[in-house]
Amino acid sequence: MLFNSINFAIFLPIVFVLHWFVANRSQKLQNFLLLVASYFFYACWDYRFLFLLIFSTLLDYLTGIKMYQAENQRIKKIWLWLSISINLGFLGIFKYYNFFVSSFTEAISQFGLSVNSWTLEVILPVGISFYTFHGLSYVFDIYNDKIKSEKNFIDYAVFVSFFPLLVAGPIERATHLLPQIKAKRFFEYSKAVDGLKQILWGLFKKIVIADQCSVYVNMVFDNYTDYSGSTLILGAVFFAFQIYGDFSGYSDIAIGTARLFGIGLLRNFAFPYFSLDIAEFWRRWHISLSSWFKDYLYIPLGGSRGGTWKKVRNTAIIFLVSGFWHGANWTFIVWGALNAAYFLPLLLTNKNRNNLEIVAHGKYLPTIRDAMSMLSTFGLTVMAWIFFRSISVRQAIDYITGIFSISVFSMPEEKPLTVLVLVGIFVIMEWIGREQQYAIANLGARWKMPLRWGMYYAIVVAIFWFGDKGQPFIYFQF
Amino acid sequence: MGSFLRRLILFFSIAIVFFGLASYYLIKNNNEEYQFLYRYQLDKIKQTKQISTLFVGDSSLGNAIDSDEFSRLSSQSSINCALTGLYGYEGSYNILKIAHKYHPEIENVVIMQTLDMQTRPLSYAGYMRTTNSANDFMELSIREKIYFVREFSYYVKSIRLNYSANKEKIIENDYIQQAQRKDVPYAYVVEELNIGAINPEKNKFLARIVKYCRNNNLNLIYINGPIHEEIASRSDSYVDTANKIISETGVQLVSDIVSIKENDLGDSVDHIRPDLKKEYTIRYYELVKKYLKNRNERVAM
Repeated sequence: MLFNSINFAIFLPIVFVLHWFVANRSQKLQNFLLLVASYFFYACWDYRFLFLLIFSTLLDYLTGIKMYQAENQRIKKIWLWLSISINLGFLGIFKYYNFFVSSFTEAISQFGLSVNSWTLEVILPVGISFYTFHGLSYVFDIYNDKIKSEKNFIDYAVFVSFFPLLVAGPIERATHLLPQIKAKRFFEYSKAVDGLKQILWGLFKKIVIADQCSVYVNMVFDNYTDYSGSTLILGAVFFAFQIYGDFSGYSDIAIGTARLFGIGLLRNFAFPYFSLDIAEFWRRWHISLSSWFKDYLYIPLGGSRGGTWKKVRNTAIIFLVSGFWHGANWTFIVWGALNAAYFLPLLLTNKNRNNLEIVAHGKYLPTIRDAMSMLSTFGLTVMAWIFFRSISVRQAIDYITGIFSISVFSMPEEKPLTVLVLVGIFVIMEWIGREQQYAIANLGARWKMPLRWGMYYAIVVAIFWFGDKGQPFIYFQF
Repeated sequence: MGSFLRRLILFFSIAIVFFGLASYYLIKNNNEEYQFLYRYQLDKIKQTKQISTLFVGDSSLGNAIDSDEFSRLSSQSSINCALTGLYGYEGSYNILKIAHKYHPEIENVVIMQTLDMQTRPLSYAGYMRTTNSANDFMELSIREKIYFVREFSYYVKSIRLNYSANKEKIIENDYIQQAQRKDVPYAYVVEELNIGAINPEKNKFLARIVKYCRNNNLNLIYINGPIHEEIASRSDSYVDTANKIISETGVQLVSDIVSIKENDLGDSVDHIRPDLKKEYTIRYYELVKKYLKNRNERVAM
């Protein structure tokens, strides 16, 4: 069930009404309802994988209890590794097995040897990377004595499979979400309205920006050898907006939906394309994943403590693992490596925390210097996105080679004026709202109702006007 | 909570009423190819003085039956009100109702749809585009009304896609002028029709056509549209099954399939070349003539 589908538009009000009008007498009943709704939501993709989700939930629930009850550190560690092995085992089989086998086969063939390829016909269960990371964060936090184990299975299961974040995050933490699930929830008008506005903005980002960009992007990337450098640049820039609109749009819908149920989710994007350097970009892009890796991988590896070599090693590991998390393809690994290469000079010169404030805070326009910094950071990310979007490293290199040719000075063969106008409007709205949680959070707050509603209707019209048959979100594949 | 819900309901009520009416108006009045054809057929119905035999169906009909020739052969006034496959049985049903409203003298209704119609999804979009009164909407079941509304974004999308293509289509001999064959190579895919692809719900509106004709004493005849000979020869079991399903609605079915030789193809595997329209009309007349009724006959009986 896609967020941008009519099925979800029917599903959500039903769950909302049941949650606040039928199950409102008891928080336990509300949680049970959310769990049933979440499993139904997931089963709409493929009911067979629901069993995998339930198994994964049970596994972490039980290991959490066992770890918490463990008499000594050794037993605790055994349970921790059991959970890690099984969780990552599933992830490995479903997501990475074929990649390792085919990479191994290819490597062997370089030496003139041939082996039978034992690849499997497996379908990637939607959201497996997300719910696996939810579960792992829970067991890590118990292992590190940050939280107690959860005794109520329903509450824990809602934490893992709460439908707004089940298939594409934000990747939540037990320390943040579980207390909200366990507490009695009260309906708050302002939160609910805010949630609806965020859903509306998320749909706009997905349907009007991402899906419209995708038409041009697909055309250019699928036939990149036929186009001039200027068209290739446009294709790459539009992909940057496509993936941002797609993923942050999903996050906005997820966060907005959760707010309708009185639950606050972690922020996942904070206007990343207005970053002044790559370090700032990574503090603003897919925040829940970056912080997950920071807390459960970077810091346990030693973080930025130790010598220069250790810093470089840990940073490189984080970026490479982050790339690999996105998919079983060398393109993602190169994407991660490239970002590490962008980031390391800042880290090594202690400039990685130079830009912690919102750019041009309280001003209408940035300084020329800030504008140049934003543009150059955006340019670097666009270059990296080419690897992310390409189907092979070879294609990405050819694509970049195509950009750096004399044809870059010619006019693009295809002139996507509508998309350019849409992206332009989008950038302006994002800039205006960059000090808020999402672009339209405060827009029109002081306007009279007819004018404010007029703006919402305009967004609704744009969504219907540009709406196609619901296209899936890119991050569902990760 | 009460205030939130009241405002939410108000917001969506305004949206539904305003956008619903606006999109309905735009859909009915925009110049996209299909609606242009629909309006053309509607005008034809209104302007024709008398109709004895009404043809309804899709483009296979539009390209196969020359109504003047059929009128000559049958000595009865006939009219070809073909739409396209997008409208399906759903559009044919509404066209039938409107034609009958203007021409209560209609005696025969011949429905001709392309052979793979049974594999297609229900076309609420086709139904919506051809509604002529609130009754058309009201007669749908609740579930159908929901599906009908679900198509909303499709309608708006189709307006957007066709808004800029604001050009009038050339009507040639009762139907849209065919494209050059070289311009539509994708329309020549020769594939066996598959029983597994049959949509068990597809006959919902055919059943309504049958019921409508029965209630209004109209003589209904169903005949499959012509199809590329290779597809026809490879699809025997599909044809048998589809014919059986169609017959189960109670319609008089002409089970013969008119196959089109490679050289006789127009711009699709189920379109006759325009210059052969009369020739194929004769073939179809031979197939349906024994099922046709006329007032004189009835009086004689």
